Amino acid sequence: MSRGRLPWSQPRVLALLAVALAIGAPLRTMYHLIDVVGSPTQFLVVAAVALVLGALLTRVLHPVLAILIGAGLFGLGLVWYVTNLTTNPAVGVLFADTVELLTGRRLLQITNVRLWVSSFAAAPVFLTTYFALRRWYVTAVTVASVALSFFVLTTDAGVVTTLLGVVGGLAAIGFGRLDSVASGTTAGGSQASPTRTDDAGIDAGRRSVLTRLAAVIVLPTVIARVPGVEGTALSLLDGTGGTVEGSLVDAGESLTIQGSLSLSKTLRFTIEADEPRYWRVGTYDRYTGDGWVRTGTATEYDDGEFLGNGPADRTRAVGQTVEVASAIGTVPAAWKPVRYQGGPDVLVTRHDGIRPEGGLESGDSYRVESAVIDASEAELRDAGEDYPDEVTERYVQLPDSTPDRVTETTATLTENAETPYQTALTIERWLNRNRDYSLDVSQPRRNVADRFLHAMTAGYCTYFATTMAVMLRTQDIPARMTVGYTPGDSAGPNRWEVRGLHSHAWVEMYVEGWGWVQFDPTPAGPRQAAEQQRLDEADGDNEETSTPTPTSTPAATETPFQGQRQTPTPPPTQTPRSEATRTPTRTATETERDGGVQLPKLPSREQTALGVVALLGTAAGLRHAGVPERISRSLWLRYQSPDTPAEDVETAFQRVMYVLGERHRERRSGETVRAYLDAIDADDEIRRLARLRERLRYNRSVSADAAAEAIEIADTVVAGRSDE
Amino acid sequence: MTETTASQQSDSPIQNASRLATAVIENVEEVIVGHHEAIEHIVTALLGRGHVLLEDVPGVGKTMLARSVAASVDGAFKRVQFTPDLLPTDVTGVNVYNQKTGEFEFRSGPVFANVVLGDEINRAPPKTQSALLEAMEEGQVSVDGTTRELPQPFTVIATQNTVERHKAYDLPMAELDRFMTKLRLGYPDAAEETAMLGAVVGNHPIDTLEPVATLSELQTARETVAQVTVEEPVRAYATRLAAYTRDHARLGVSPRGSINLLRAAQARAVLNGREYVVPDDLQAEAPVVLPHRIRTDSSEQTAEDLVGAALDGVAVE
Repeated sequence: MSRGRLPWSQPRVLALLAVALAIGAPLRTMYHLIDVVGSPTQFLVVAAVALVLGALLTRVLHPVLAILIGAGLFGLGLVWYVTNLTTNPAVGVLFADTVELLTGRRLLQITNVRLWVSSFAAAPVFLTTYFALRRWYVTAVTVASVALSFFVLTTDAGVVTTLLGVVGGLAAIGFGRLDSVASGTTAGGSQASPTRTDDAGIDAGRRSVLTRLAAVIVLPTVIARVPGVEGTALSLLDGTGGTVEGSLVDAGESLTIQGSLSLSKTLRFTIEADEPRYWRVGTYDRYTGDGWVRTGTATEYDDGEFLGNGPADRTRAVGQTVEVASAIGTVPAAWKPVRYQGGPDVLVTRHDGIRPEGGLESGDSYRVESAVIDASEAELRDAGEDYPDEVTERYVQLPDSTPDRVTETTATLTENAETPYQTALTIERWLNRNRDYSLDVSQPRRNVADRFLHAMTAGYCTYFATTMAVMLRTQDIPARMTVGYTPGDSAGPNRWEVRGLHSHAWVEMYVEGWGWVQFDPTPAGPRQAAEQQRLDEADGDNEETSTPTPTSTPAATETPFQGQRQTPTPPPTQTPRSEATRTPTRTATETERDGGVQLPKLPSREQTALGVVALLGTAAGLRHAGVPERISRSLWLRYQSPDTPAEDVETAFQRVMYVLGERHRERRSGETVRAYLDAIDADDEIRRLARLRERLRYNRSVSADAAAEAIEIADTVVAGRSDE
Repeated sequence: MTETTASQQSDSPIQNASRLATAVIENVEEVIVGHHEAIEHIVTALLGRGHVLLEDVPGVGKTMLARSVAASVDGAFKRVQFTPDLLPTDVTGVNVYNQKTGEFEFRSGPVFANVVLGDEINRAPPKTQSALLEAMEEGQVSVDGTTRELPQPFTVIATQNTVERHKAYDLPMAELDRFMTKLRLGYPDAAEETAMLGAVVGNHPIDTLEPVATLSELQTARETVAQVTVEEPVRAYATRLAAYTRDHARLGVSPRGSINLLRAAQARAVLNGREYVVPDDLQAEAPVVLPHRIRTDSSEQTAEDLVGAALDGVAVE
């Protein structure tokens, strides 16, 4: 038995790989967090140092000391984080923040997330490495799980990442147990009496672990298919088919860019205003690659307090009165709100927007006064690039993983633009003319902006806005993605009705000296066409007005606004399809365009890995349960192909014996067939078959007739079996 | 019984032999109450060219059984009562001087018969025993340098008492091996004993017992039995049984034991009207054919136990 003496036995390698997977899940989450806000070098160094430290100290350090060192690392991280914060928060605030994190606030919303991750990465990596190498797999997995659980609670860890971590943890415990058994050491680390385990035992254990892992992966997936569960947090599968409004306006602090969406017709609010504007409800500053996150916390607002009109010194006051028609969780208002009066209490976000403390119910009403920038196009065009520090800190962030080609493509497109404003106009026009509008798109897996810019041909407003914001940021121009509603359907003088389908996403760019200026890269014409098409499709349906079903509406939806915008951007291209640049894609059929990218979506590496584990485990489980044998047995039992008479009689006999074994009991090895048939009180047909086979076996006499008779008897008996 | 096409013909040798065996059994049962299996075993030994050793306490009908079997066959029947002072020549016969002719002439002993009953064979000294046993094995007798053939068919039915062991000469294993079957009768159960008492208080039924088979019929039946098919799976089964006893006992079944087992099984097959041997036949005969050839490792396990274990444990294929 060399297995026990080898320091790197197979179970041990498997267990360590599994531990790596378990700690890899939180690390992957951390890496993603770091990646969103910039270079991960510091984090990687910290993690690597902790890993090496844990590995080096495995042999020499007492476990209690190791736990103390782990706690020390954690404490150091805490001190480092707090002392490095630019603000100087009270302990109570830090504590409240922690509670918020544990109840679903995303870490991405923490302003200094990079510092946070770098501070706290060391302790779990060190402890997990240390304990895993000491063969304390349960402890190691516990540490990794605590780390992962934290990210699960903050909702930063994705479903697949979490599942990988859980699978890794379970596998580590299972294989670790095998390793402990093989090496004669218990999982607790104390010496136990050496257990002799043969290879068969290890193999059986490995299969058992694999089977359980498969159950962990397969069961949730199956449950996720159960009606009522699909699309919820339990579901591994992408939830698609929501509404644009749901994905944008109701998205809260973070926004994930979805796949196919539909439009809701429900009336949200009626607004009376001096002029039609984009009714803005929120903005997002941190781009994560697959969505947006709003960082920072909101502060309280006293009714009637003047908020100031920012850097712009020439503004025009626009008053709006909003009557809420159905429940919304936002306070729509034109940029930039400076004064709010109304029933529901509101907060002021770090991005100078306002949002309600609670929700707004039907019948609520409020009044907002906004200061709209009153600048000429020339003034905007000539604005320079001298941005305030707090703006560049926040609004030019890009994930480190953003492909360089986004920057390159943008640079090429905007070669001739001399000022940021011109750059924005160029990008807006390019997107407007070169991408189709479609609500029916498949969700890109990685960087949305990159995919939309380089691979996709169609998308909806979120794609356009995200891509434009990212493109601006690659040119170091502060930009952010803003969501809200288009002006809505006109319902009398200075009065607009805004429905769910008017929800929209657009871009705000910071212009030196003026502040945030709106751009809308989403093409209006094609969108109207798509909506008209959907309207036609829905024509046969009942007219629904109050339920948020995905239907379409008359033409004037989220469209007709760009021309009326105060900032003199070029009018929306009314005939984008006639542009020369459109030529290549115009050859595509209408349906292809509507469908966006039609290629089947290949599974990601993680999903493939999980699938392989699931397949292997399922196969092991099936084999363990003897399913292949059962199937072949079942086939053998039912379908006897004719052979030589001798073979026929023997096979027929064996079939019947199998059925009898199932029905009564198996023939004991020392029992003759006659004695067996007597014992189970077999009927004459079976005895007749037994005689035929007896004559074959002990008298070498068999005939074709006997063979035919034997098969017939066997068929009858087998058929009788299934009748039972 | 829908056995085989061959045996369904009334004039087939198997059928005739089977009828003969049945007739003998029924005839013996006129006299012997109960002990059906023992009677069957004796008849199979008779047909299988073997000899029978009946071992039991006195008075359970050993001699009566042997006499009944002998009386059922129309042949020469001799009985030898073995005693400690019996000489070998008392069994085989002796050359005596004829004063009239002036020559030695052979006066044949009781062994020259078709059925020889050797009563209480373990009372005689080994030299006398071996005289009988040589006759059993060789089918011939040598007296004063002259070899004389014994009549055919020739069957010895010996009995031995299990009481008063100190007054007995136990048969050596080598000689025990020459008996095909060794039977124990045991006491009859109460009902059988009552019936038996009723049957024998008047004229003993053995006195009126008529033979049901001629010698030539018996000889034909024995030849028929010898022709019964023993296919390879059955032979292999017999080999495995023997191997099992050799593996699990100090002294296991000899090849002669296996031969006897197959011969007994052949006779058993004929008794059942079958022209081929099946493992069931071996299983029926093994408990009486094998144990007396086995010496077990421990006193706790009898040879019968070991044979039972072999029958349970050795796979029938």
